[in-house]
Amino acid sequence: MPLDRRSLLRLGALGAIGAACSPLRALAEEGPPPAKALIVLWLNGGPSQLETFDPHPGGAIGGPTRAIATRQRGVSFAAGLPRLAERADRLALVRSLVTKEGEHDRGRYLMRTGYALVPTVQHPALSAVVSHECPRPALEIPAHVSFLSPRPPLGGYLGVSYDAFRVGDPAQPVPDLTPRVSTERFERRLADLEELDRGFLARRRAGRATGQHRALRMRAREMMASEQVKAFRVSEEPERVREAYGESAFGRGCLAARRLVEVGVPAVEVTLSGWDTHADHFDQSHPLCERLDQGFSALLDDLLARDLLDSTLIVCMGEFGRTPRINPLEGRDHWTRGFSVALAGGGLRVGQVLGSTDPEGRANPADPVRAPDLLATLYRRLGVDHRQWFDTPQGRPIRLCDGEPLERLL
Amino acid sequence: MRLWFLLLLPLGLLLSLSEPDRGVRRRVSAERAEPFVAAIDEHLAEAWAQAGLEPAPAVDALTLMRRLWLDLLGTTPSLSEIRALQEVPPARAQAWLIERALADERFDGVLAERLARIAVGGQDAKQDDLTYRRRRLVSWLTGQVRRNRPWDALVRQLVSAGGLSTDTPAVNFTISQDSDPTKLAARTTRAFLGVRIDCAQCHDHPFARWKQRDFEGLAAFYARLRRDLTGVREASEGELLFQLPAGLSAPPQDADHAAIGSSTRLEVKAPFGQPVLIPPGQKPPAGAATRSVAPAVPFSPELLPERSSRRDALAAWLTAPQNPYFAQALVNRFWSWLLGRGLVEPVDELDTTRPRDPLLLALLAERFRESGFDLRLLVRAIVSSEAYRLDSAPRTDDEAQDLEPASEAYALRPLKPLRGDQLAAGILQAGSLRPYDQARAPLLRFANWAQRNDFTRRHGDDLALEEAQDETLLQRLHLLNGKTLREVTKHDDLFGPVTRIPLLAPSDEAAVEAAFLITLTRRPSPAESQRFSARLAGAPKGERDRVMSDLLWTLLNATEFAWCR
Repeated sequence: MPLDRRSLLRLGALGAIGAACSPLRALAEEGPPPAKALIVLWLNGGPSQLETFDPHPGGAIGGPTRAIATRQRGVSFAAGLPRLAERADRLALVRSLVTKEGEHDRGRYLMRTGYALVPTVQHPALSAVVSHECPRPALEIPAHVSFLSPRPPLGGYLGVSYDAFRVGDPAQPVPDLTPRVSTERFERRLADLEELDRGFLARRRAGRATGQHRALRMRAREMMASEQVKAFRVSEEPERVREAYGESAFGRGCLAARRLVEVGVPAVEVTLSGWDTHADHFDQSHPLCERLDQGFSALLDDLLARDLLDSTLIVCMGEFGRTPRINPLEGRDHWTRGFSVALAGGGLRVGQVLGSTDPEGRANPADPVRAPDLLATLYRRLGVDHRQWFDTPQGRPIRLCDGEPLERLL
Repeated sequence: MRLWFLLLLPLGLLLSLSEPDRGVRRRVSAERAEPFVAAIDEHLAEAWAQAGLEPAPAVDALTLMRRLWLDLLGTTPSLSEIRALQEVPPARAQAWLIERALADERFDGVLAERLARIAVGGQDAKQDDLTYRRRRLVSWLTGQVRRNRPWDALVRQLVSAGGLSTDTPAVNFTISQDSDPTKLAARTTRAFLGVRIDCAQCHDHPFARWKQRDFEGLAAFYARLRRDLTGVREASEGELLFQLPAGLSAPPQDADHAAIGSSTRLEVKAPFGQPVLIPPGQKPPAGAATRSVAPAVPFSPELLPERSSRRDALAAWLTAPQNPYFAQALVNRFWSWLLGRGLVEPVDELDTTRPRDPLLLALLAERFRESGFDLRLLVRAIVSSEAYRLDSAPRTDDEAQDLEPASEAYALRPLKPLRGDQLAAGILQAGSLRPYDQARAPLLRFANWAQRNDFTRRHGDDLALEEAQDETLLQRLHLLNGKTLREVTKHDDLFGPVTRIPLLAPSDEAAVEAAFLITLTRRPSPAESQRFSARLAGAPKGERDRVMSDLLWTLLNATEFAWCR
């Protein structure tokens, strides 16, 4: 019998796993223990590298942005990030991300999943994979949470149960967690539901699909009653702490992220929107940088003080960067040939910069880094085998990530 | 800058809801559909006999009503409609239900939305003007299906239309793909031919016969599409041009791809080494090497006519009766929509996947083609077929052990999950004893529309998907504790079902029965009836409302409610 394409792919997959496993194990044993949690600070819209982690003042492309010295020798940040500059020794920067996805949806998809957006398969986002690969049996609240995102990360072929649990500003309580009636009535309603479902499901030998509502009802009830839900309530933090994170939804999201990681949530995303500054770029970026600077810095300090920084990997990125050239509307447009991503914690080798961009904004960056390689690095630090294969719902084997880790960061 | 636009939005909203293009509804009679129905029934009866399968029994009239209403009207039936059914003699019930559903104005809207999902998918709803344009398209399609314009005529118009998106809503097809030739080539083949030729965008398709040049050749049909302030138009000249990477003067060799999912591999070899499409109408940078692609179809070139406009030519080729995929793509989607399981799944893999029943697919396609691509006839034929009426519950324990053989052969109906929009409509319908149909006051229908949107905003309803997805925790929490269900099950609303049902019902048993009918579209079992009417009878006078509210809440949260049996 000739082999069909699926068995052929599977055979290939097995070979690849066999070849990949042993060196991977060896590497994992050498480095620090893998990180336990991931926090993604998502800068939605495409943040300008020039106004954040990679300024080039003085020339034609710099605009009015000043550069300031940081705790990393010879490395400067834009003046809008003074607090992060003070903490630059705790950051690893990649200044040379290169992609070919200059459109928001496509850029976001690539940076989150490591794959180009194609209609044939939906790849899971990094954070969804982490929630899948790091099961937490004691967790009564969702393992994958996204704050303030207009497009929360999805579980893709892993299934919708790995989609991020979408939450808004943590100043508001998580919606739909309180029953609309007394506990006694709520319990009676649930008992009646059990009875009704028993009849329906008995006739049909509940499959996975029909059984899901009952299972989700159990999880919903568990979450509603859980003490862990308090992790969403940033109002319980002392005023001093809340002030450190800043009076912004993003700052509160960062604080809630820390609280969630503390109770065992493995994957959190916090979004800061507004970076798509095609016009009036410098004025628009200023308040965003301020919020980012405050929230990110407070998160670093807080995690460090609680001894959680080594076990929590932070990645701060957006879908792409912005053009060195300043357009006639005082704006910067989409730019994919050399933009910055900041990393921290999680046992990465921080205090270094990878790659560099041309101060004139013309030449390609030195040491270009591809999105899949960045993701492979993060997977490696999180103890996730990035070369493993999954079956999509269509039964196609597909590799989790098609990149190779950046050894300099490990 | 956007403020003036916001001011116009409510006006546009009202306009888009008011269906300007009414026209006369063209009906398709039951007699015309008879031979079609008989052909489906005969084929399946023979297939079942050959496989040694006995089809499940037909469902009762109420279950059939729930199916027809959810499928064709997008919601569960109301109490008044159920009462009307009860007046019909059982022997005539099936025909009555089908007539009634197909004659309902809500069906035009559901069919139009179905076609919009096929043609433009979800479209990105991130911008107000995009959702507005999508509504214009749906509204236009509603008028078209009302007059029963055939599918080939609609597709020709979508592919080749020119003009402003407001005047000629069909141009929203090209606009939805950003007027980008490559996106349009991908969408066109997926939507209208049910094949995924876009895999060949970056590399030759690993399993199907498509080559990169097939994909680019198709894209070239859209190379003269221009969009400016005067709308979409067809330029008299212009070619599909790719700018070649520096140092590369000839087209690159076909990339070697070991497995699917390695499309980003190209980046490794040459981060900047991909040919880049030059947006149509723009000139390549001075001195850049370019490659020009001529329009070409991937198969059946003899069907491609000589036309002055490239999009006209493409549209004619797509919809040619001899084009093997055109009819198959639509009948497969409609079969999947109405029977809960496509003949080919995913619905746009006609080229690489063996159909569950190749003869049935051919039969449906042939009849659809012969009818002149009559959409209403196709729907009528499928919902009138025996397969549509079969029960979803297995009869024996043996069968229950493995439903697959019977379901694969359409001898047992699969359960279908409700989509977000159906859940919203069904929950809100339970809040009213009469349907939100054409007889209802426009203001109430508008309020209902707004409430449904409110529900789906929180619950999610991915317009890009033609079928429902699994439920998430967030969605279950929304049903358990969310606003919409609380409003519908309020015990102190004089016009809500909690107050109205006991008022109208002669007994506790009748009240419980009405609650089951408006939610699950069935009567309670004796045990269920007894359990809940005893609860109602035992409640002190002031507590009866609360018991009724609890009952409705329970029924709307039941697993059974979230599925179409």
